[in-house]
Amino acid sequence: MDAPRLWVRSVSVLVPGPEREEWVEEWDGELAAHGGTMAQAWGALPDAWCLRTEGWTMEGMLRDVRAAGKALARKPFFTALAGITLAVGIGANTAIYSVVDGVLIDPLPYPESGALVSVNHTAPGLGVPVVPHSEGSYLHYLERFRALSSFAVFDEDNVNILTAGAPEQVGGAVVSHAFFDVLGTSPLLGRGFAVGEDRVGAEPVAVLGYALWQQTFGSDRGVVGRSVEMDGVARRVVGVMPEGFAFPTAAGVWVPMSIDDADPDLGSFNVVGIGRLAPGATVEGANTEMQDLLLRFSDAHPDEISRDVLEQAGFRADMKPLKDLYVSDVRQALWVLLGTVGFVLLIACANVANLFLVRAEGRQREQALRTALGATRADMVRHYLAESLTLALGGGVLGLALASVGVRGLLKLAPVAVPRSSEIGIDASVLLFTLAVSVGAGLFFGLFPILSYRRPDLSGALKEGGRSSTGGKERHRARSVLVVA
Amino acid sequence: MGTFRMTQITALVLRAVAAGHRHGFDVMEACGLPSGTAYPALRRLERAGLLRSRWENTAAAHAEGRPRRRTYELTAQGRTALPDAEAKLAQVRRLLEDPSPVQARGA
Repeated sequence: MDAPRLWVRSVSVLVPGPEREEWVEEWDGELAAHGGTMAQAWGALPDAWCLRTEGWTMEGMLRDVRAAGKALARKPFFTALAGITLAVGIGANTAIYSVVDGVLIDPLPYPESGALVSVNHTAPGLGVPVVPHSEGSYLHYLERFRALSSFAVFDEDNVNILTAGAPEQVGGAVVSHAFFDVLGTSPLLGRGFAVGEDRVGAEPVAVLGYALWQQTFGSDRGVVGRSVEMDGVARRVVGVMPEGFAFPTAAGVWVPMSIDDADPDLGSFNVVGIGRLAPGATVEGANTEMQDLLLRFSDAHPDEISRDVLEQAGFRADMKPLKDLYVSDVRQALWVLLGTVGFVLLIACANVANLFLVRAEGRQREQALRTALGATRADMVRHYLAESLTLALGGGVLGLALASVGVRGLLKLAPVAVPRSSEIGIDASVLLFTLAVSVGAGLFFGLFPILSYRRPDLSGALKEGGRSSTGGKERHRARSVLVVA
Repeated sequence: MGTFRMTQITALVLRAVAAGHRHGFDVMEACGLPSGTAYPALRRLERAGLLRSRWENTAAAHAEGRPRRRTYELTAQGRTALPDAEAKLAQVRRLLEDPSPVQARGA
């Protein structure tokens, strides 16, 4: 049999039984008369789907959902047990997915964040995955980079601020002048740092974070231009960053570096490099350029970092997407965790499917009555699916509530600090994930009673109170499969 | 069976069958409709009694070395409904040709 005809037979499973044979014959006849290409045969799928869903009206579906709700309400213990089992499974998946989404999937919250790169080195020979910059290497690269449109370095440091009240210690960062330009974020008030403000002898200035501006300075717009004492130095506030800007994570205030152009520190590699790719530049191309510049830096300063040292340490340029700098340590662990909770959900679904099968055995009289009243197999499938999907969506809503409460607790219990934790939360993509998982779970555990459904022996089931249905063996087999699972 | 309502799609399909396109694929080609639209329209028209389908003679088809085909044709009721279908299509044509229907109504 050729592929187009095989395809038609494959999709014919969607066509209701009484119409299937003639449907296949019609498609065979048309394909034979028109060349029978695979492109033509694809059309059988939408046609089969239309036939399957022809009787599915919104009104009918609502009726199914109402009936499912009533049936579930009649068995509160069963419904509560199955619903809580699903809520735990779906909630665990939602919680972990919200972490994966916030940490690994969501882009960094900066304009054109795909162009942001970590501009540092690595030295596997020394067992050091990230070697940042010294003042000297920063100046060397800054003058020569062509693949980056902007390049900056920073170091995290606490800052003691003395205001009218008591001294206050806040998280801060010492940065080079182009720091805010690299991140593409303009201050809410005032300006960022100007060229030259990160050099020795420049006027001491500072940029405040939004939270510090609100809490310590009472959102006073007049703070720009005012002198504030920080670590014993009077600094003029030149700007306030917008709400939500927090890079590096704990920074609430930014002050410029103080580099001596004439005598920069060459050997202390302690300031982290970030950059923005120039239009058209790639990470690979920029990395090649950086490696070339590194060798030139080594040749210019052999006493600090000779070629021998580079070779022995495996010291080389390591430019990569900025997100990788922060999440590479937890990436694998998070995916493994998501896989693990996926298995937890699978086990939850298997348990609920088992509960459904046990319940189905006790409903043979009801099935027989429905069949006697004219319900077709398709009606029974819709009935089962409406129940399983209603239960799964209910479990999903409960799971979402559990996840939104539980994810914060999980982060506190984490053995290591989770990067980008402020960006973790329930957003649209997490809601979509929960919906997809709930529907998937509902279809999964709803499938077993459907697969094991056989048209009941009407007279036996009705006379003997549902003990003689022919579906028993199939259900027993399905339950055995679930126990193995 | 629900009540039948003539739509642009069913009108198009009814007119195609009336014009002599008597098989599913021919109707799809004549109307420029995909299978998921043309076949459901054919079925709705048949259920409403405007079309009837027949299977061609099995022996004749096998003699030509191919499976038999289903043929659609208008019923008397379908012929009666044809002006209604034409009116529906004319209405669509007018809407497509009128460059400023909204302004005309508001004027």
